[in-house]
Amino acid sequence: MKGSSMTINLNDERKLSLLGATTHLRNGFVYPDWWEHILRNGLDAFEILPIPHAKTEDWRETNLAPFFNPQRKWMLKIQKQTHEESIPQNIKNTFSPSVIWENGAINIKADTFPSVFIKSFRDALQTQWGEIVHKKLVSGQEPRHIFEAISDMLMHNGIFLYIPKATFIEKPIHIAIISQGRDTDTMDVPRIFIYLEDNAQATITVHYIADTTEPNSLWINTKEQIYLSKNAHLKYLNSIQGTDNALRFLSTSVEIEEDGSLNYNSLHLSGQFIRSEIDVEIKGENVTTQINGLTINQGHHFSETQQLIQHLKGHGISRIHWRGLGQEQSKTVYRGKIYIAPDAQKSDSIQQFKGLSLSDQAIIDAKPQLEIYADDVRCTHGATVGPPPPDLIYYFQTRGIHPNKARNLLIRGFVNRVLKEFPFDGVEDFIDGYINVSEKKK
Amino acid sequence: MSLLEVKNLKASIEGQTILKGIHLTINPGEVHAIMGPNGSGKSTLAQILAGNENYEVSSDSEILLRGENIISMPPEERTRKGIFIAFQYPVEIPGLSNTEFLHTAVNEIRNARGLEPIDIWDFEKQLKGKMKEIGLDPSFSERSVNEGFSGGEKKRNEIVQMAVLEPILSILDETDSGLDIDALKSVAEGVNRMRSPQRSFIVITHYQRLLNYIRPDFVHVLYKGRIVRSGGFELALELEQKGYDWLKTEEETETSSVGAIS
Repeated sequence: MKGSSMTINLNDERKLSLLGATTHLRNGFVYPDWWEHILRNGLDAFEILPIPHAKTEDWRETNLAPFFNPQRKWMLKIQKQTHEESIPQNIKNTFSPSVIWENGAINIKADTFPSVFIKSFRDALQTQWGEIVHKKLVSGQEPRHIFEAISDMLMHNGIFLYIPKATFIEKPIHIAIISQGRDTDTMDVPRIFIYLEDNAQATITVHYIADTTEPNSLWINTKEQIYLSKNAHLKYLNSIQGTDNALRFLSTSVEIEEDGSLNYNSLHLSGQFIRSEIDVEIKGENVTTQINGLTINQGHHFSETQQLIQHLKGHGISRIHWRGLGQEQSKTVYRGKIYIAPDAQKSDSIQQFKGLSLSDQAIIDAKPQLEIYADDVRCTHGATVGPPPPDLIYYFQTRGIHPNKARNLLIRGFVNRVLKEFPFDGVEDFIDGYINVSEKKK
Repeated sequence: MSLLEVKNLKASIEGQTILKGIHLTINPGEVHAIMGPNGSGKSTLAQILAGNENYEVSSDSEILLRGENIISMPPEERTRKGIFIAFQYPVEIPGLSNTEFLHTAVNEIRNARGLEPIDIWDFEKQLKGKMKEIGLDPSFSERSVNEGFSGGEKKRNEIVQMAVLEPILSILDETDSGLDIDALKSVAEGVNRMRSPQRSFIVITHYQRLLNYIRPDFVHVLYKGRIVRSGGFELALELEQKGYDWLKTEEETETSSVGAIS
C-alpha cells in the first residue's frame, strides 16, 4: 500500500503547515498551468475562508469540531493501487463496479465501455479531451467554503467520464470510491467529473465506501461535477455506505443545458458524519430534474443534506422527493432551496421532504425554502416529520399484527416509497443492516 | 355457549363517560344491528370490542369471547382469536401493498393458531379472487393499502380483508356511510356470502338502508351510552319511519317522572 502522503494541520497556523503542500502531491507529475492555478486558488481560498460555525447560515446544525480539532494532523494518503476486495459484497453483486478509486489510485476497465471515454484526470490531459477537463474545471465555481477549497487545493487526480455526442450508453457505468483509513487522521479527496455531450444518454452509479476502524479517523472530502450539454440525459445514483468512523463531506454540482434531463438518486446510509451538498443549475429551457433521496440515520450519527435547485431559464421542471429515517440518538438535517430566476418563467417545481422519527431522541430537522423572482411559475414545497402514527399501528393490530412488526412494516413502507422511484434495481437490499428492527413477540 | 357476551360495559375517554353499562349477548351465526343517533356511543362500542386502548374501560366490565374474558387483551390477540373490525374511516398505509399487508396478517393469525404459513404467491391468487368477488379491481392487490382509494374502494377493501381473515365475529362500523347504492350492494353481498352458522356479525349503522341487504336477526338501539330498546328487523323499520327524535322524548319523560318522585 505504498504511496505518497502529505500532512495538513488545520489549526490557526494552517497557512504554515500548508506551504509546499501541492509539491508533495505532484509525485513527479508536471501539472499544466491551469491545474496549478486551481491548486493555488484553492489554497488561497483555504487561507481566507473562515471555518463555519454555529452562527453561519446553512451551517447552524453542523458540528465541525471533529474536523478542525487543533490536535489533529490529517494525512492525505495516496495509494498506488486499488483493491477490489474492499468493495462490499452487496455492491459487487448488484453493480459490479468497473471503475475504482481507492485513496487516489484509479483502476479503469476501459474495454467494458468502448464508446465512452473514461480516464483519470492526469491521463485525460494527454488526449484530445484534456481541453474539456481544463475548461470545465477552471470555469467551475469558486470555492464557496473551506471544504470546497480543500477539494481544489488537494486536487491531485480524479475520474473523468466523457460521453460523446449522440452516444447512448445502455449499459450502466458503475464506479466504486473506496477510502481507506487504516492509520489515524487519514484524508482522501475523491473527485469525479462527468460530461455528457449534446444528445448523449447514460446511466452512472457511484458508490462511496469507507474502510476504517478508528473513531473519526477518516476525512473524505469529495467533489462531484456533472455537466449535461444540450438534450443530454443522465440517470445517476450515488450511495454512501456509512461507517462509524468516517467524516464525509460531499459536494455535487450539476449544470444542465436546454432540453437536458437529470434523474439523480441518492442513498445516504448512516455514517458518523455526512454532509452532502447538491447544487443544480438549470441553464437552458425545457430541462427536467428529478431528485430522489433517502437518508437513514442511526446511533449517534449525523447526516445533513443541503440542496439548491436554480431555475435560471424557463419551462423547467424539477421534482425533489427526499425522505429521512431517524433512529436512536441520530440527527438528520434537510435543507432544500428552490430558486427561480426572473427569466425562468413557466418553471414547475415540487419539493417534498418526509421524516420518520423512530425514537424520542432522534432529531430530524427539515427546512424547505422557495425563492421566486418570476411571476408565472408553479412551485410547491412541504415537509412533514413525526413518529409512526399510533392510529396506523392500531390498524395493523386489528389485523392480527404485533405493534413491533407493524412498526417494521411501516418503516419498510416509508423507505420503499422513495426507493421505488429510484430507476435502479437492487437498491432495496442496500438498506439491510441500517434499520434497527425489533421483533419482540408477545 | 354464546359467541360474545358483553356484561355491564362502561367506558370513558378523556374523563368523559361514553358507555354507561352495555349488556349484549350474541350467539354463533347471528347478525345484530346496532343503531342509534350520532354520538350515542356506537363507534365507541365497536372500538372497545376491537381492543382500542385509547378508552378507559371500567374494571367491573366483562367482554367474553366464547367464555374467555378478553377485556385486557391487546387488539392483535383479539383478532387472532377471531374478532374483526371494518373501520368507518380506514387509514392509508403508504408504501405497503395490500398483498404484503394481508399476507403478513394472515400468517400472524395462522401462526397464533399453530398453522403453517401460507406462501405469498398462493395468497395473492386468493386475495385477487376475493377482490373480484367484492367488486374491487384485482390490481388493487399491488397498490398501497387504501392509498388513493375512493371512499367506496376503501370500504370494499375492508370487506376484502374480512373475507381473507375469516373471523368468527365481524364488527362493521358504519360500513355503509358514504356508499352509493352499487357499492352498498357489493359490500352487503360480500357480508352475506360469509354468513354461516358459526360466524356472527355486529352491524353498526345510523340508517336502516344497509339492513335491507344484510338482514339482521336482532336490532338494538343505543342512546346516550345504553341499549334502550332491542327487537327484530321491524325495529329498524320503525326507526326508519320515526327517526330518533322519539328517543329524546321518551328519555325526557323518564327524567321528568324521576324528578317528580324525588
